[in-house]
This record gives sequence, C-alpha cells and structure tokens, in this order.
Amino acid sequence: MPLCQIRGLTHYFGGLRAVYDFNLDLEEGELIGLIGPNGAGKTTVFNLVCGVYRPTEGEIRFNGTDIVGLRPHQITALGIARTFQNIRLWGQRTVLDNIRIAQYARVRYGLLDAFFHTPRYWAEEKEILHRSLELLDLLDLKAYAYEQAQNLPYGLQRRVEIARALATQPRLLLLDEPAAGMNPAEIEDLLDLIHWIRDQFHLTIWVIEHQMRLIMSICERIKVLDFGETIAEGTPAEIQANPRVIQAYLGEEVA
Amino acid sequence: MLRKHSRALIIALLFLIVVIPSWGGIYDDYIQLILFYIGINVIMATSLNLINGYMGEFSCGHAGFMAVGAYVTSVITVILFAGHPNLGPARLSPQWSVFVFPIALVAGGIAAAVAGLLVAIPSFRTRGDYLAIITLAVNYIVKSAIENMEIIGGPRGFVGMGKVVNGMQQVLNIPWVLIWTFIGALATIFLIRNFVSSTRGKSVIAIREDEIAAELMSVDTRRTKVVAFMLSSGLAGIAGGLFAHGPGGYINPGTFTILKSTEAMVMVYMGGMGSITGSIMSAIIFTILLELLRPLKVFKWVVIPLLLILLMLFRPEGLMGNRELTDIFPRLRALFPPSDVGLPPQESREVLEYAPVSD
Repeated sequence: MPLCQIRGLTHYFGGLRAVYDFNLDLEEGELIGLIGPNGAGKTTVFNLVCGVYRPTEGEIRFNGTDIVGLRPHQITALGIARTFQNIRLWGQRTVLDNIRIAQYARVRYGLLDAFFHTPRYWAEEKEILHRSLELLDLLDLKAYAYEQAQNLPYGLQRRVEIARALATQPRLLLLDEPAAGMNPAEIEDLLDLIHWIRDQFHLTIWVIEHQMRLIMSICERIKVLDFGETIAEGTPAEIQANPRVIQAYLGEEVA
Repeated sequence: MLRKHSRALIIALLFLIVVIPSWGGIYDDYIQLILFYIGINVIMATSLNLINGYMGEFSCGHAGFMAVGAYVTSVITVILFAGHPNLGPARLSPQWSVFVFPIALVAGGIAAAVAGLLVAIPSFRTRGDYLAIITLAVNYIVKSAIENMEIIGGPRGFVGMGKVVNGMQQVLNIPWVLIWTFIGALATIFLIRNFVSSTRGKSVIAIREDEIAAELMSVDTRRTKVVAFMLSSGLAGIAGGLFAHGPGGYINPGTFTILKSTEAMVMVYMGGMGSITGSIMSAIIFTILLELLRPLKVFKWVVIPLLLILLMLFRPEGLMGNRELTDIFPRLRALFPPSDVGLPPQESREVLEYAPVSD
C-alpha cells in the first residue's frame, strides 16, 4: 500500500479553482517532484496535504488514516513535515530552540512537570536536548546551535529549516522550493543533502522546485501542474520531451 | 553551594528585608503599603508579560481578571468569617481564616483562569488588534457584571475583608497579607520562568515568532494559547484576591477599569517584553515612582505618561529588551540553578556534555 494516497483533490478559493482533481500515490522511499509555472497551485497542494487548508473535495490518506480535516499539528505528529518557500524559522530563537520546539508533539511530561520542573521534566528535557544536538551534528549545524536563527546566512537557514522538519520525525518530507535563492554551489550541496537525508532517515520526499537542474537530477517521478490541473506525469526524461509541458512553460509557437 | 540554596536564600532575604521589619514595626504602615503594592504589581506585570511579551498578543484587559479574583476570594472569606448584610452572618470563627485565606486565594485564581477562557477561545481565530478589542471588551463585561450584582454591593463596592484580616492577626500578629503577597509574587515568577524555559512552554514564543510555522511543526497552538491565557489570568486573579485584602478591606468595580489594565501594560513594556527580571524591576520602579510623584497631585498623570513617552523614544525595547538580568551579568548565573538544559555550555556548568549515542 502506498504511504500517501491522494484522490480527486480539489480546492477552490472563492470562485477561483486552485487545484482540480489531483491524484497521487507516494510509495515509501520515493523522491517525487512537483513542478509547474508560477501560480499553478503547487504550494496549495502542499497546504492541503498539511492541513493548512481543508480541501473542497477529495481524499488524502496517509499511512492508512484519512487526514482530511485534521489540524496541521496532528498531521505533523502523524509523520508529515515540511519546509517553506519563504523561510519561516523562529528567527529570534537559537537554532537549538528551533529544533527543540519542533519536538513538541513528543513531549510526554505534563503541564505540572513544566511548571514545577520535576525530575521527570529534567530527564525528558535532557533527552530532547541530546536528540537535538545529535540531529544538528548530523547536519553539520552543531557549531551554530546557540546562534539566533535569523543571524545565519541564507543557505544555512534553509538547512536549519530542513533540520527542524526532520526533528518532528517525519516519514514524508515536503520541500517547498528548497533551492530558491541559492547559488549553483549551494544547489550542489542541497542535492547531496536531499539524497543523503532520504537514505539516512528512510524518508519519502516530495519536492516543489523551479530549478530544473535540481528536479531533473534527483526526482524519480515528476508531476506537472498548470492552472491547478495535472498536465503531465512521468520520469524526468519523459517530462522533458512532453509537448504540453514545454507549452505550459514556454508558451505556444506563433505561426 | 550558593546555587543549590539560592531559592531558600532569596526567600530568607525577602523575609529579612520585607516581612520582619514590617512585623517588628520598623516599617510604618505607609512603607508596608508600598511594599504591598510592589508585590501585587510584580504579579500583575509578570503574568501579563506571558501574554503580551512571550506570546506577542496584545491583551489590555488584565484588570478584568484581577476583579474576578478579587471578588471571588473576598466573597468566600467574607461569607465564612466576616458576614455581610446581603450574605448573612459569619459561618466560622475568624481565626480559621489563617488556613482558609490561601485556599480562597487559589479559588479566586481558578475563577479568574476560567474567565481567561473568554479571551483564549476567540484567540484561536483572531489575533493582533482584533484580539486586543476582545480583551478590552472582557474587561468591561467583568466590570459591568459586578456593577449589576446587587448582592455583592454593585457599584458601591464590597466590604468586610478587614475583619477577615483582623481574624488572622488575632491568631498571630504578623503582616499576613503582605507575607502572602510576597509568596504569591515569588510563586508567579517561579511558575512563569519554569514554563517559558520548558520545551512545552517555548511553544508560546514560537507562536509569537510565527504561528503558522508553529502549528506545522507539531505545536498544538490552541492548547498552548488556552494554557497561557489561563495561567496569566489565574495569576492576575490571585493578585486581585490579595489586593482585596489590603489596607481598608474594601473593593469596588471602579478600581478594575482599563486604567488598571493600562498600569499593568505600562509595567510590561517599561520592563521589556519577554523579560521576567524586566517586569519585576519595572513593577518596583513604577510603584515607587507613583508614590514619589504623589505631591504633584493631578499632575502626576501628566508627568508619568511623559516619562513613558521619553522611555519609548530613547529605549523602545524597554529597560531590559527581551533579555534577563542574567544575560547582562552572566556572573549572576552562578547564583541560580539553570532553568533550561539548553544554555551554551560555558555558561551553565551543569549541562550534560553531548556525546553521540550508540544504538
């Protein structure tokens, strides 16, 4: 059974049809790309999957459970994490705090433990700290653990955002334009990073991206959206040769 | 050594500076009154800071919750120990109030916490200016509701708490209410500091910095808001209960208007949003300033706002910004046990060293 199954996903913003009849099966361990011109509805699909919007119609099953109508934090706790197109770190907190807060769903101590700092609180906080530092170490971010997130350079902030998403212990990771604003060298690093985290954390990864170089080289399967509708689906080679995709991106040839 | 016993040390010091001189008659009634107001204001400012500072909402109805606590606590103590024309004679001997008073305070706090839900639930859907208007409305609702309850005196106010306090003093002649006020202030500081340094409580700060990111990174933002609003308003309720048992033993709804809420807000912004030590310092400074400027009479309310404007012009982040005293003087950390395991290692010696786990 696929890890995530999306059937007939449709969403309207008032009278505007943002996504229409979107279907996708994500198999465990896959690396899938979602591309399309600006305004095609890619981020809306992510927002629907994460629970930011409730779809007008359609079904999303994750790991066997129907997740339509759940609140975003519940969906995240089930194992879907994401990064954002515009970085949304908690800028004034340290990198370490960003990682720790993302483990909220796994805090087991109660409110009274938090109010009175009981031994149970300390034991668990130490565990959380340990896990966080370990994760930062894995992603080569440990040196910045005590820096304010907003003071890091752009590329590192992207990396911290991925680390924060990983801290929620997802099974499916949604990356919304991870390469936006990166220079070619940073994109090379990102390519390696995405491959590496998939293997290291046994993840299924779903990427929205405009950088064709990145999407074509890492994705096994690509879906193309235009005006909310799926216009093509297939391997990178198939997509590159598909006339409808070329038309959507470059426009029609004028006779 | 010092760090291990710092809590006991602070409490001992407070008793030495505040309670014992008041008891022994070294401080006259006036100084005791100022100390009492300082304690109340510390509770008000620190608890409001959780909402306006740490969570970044703009709550301007804190006095409403103070009123709920003040009335609930005093109705309980007066019914039991003093008697009231509308509520019948005293049920118990006044001496028992020594034991019941703290329980009544907590009951007042719980009632105020429940009233806090009036703000917490709308905050799920709205924030910023709109939520500010709701908090303002809650302040007015509470005040008008009390004004229209004839059984507790309506707009004329509620009396009888003086007898309750006398009852306590018959048992042992110490400044009971002042002692409880300082215990309340210490408990407030302790609770809020502990909460915001825990991973669970840091979610409050995540909401301030980016609410959508918080929700998408598994933080249950609704639960967090309910907890924060209830904790904050509950503590304000306890401040109200203490306030009602102050000198005079009289409260009326006119005390708990938007002006009182503004005082609490002023203390938060003067001290620095998201700084507990800032709130404590500004509560002390603000209270003393109000007293020092008393000779100016009405002009006091010209001078104080003017000082505030100047403060905002030259130091818009408040006295402390969002830092604590220990951030400015790291050496002070030696005095306190760390509240957070995740401080930079060189600054908190007790933090465990990180070593990769083998699985």
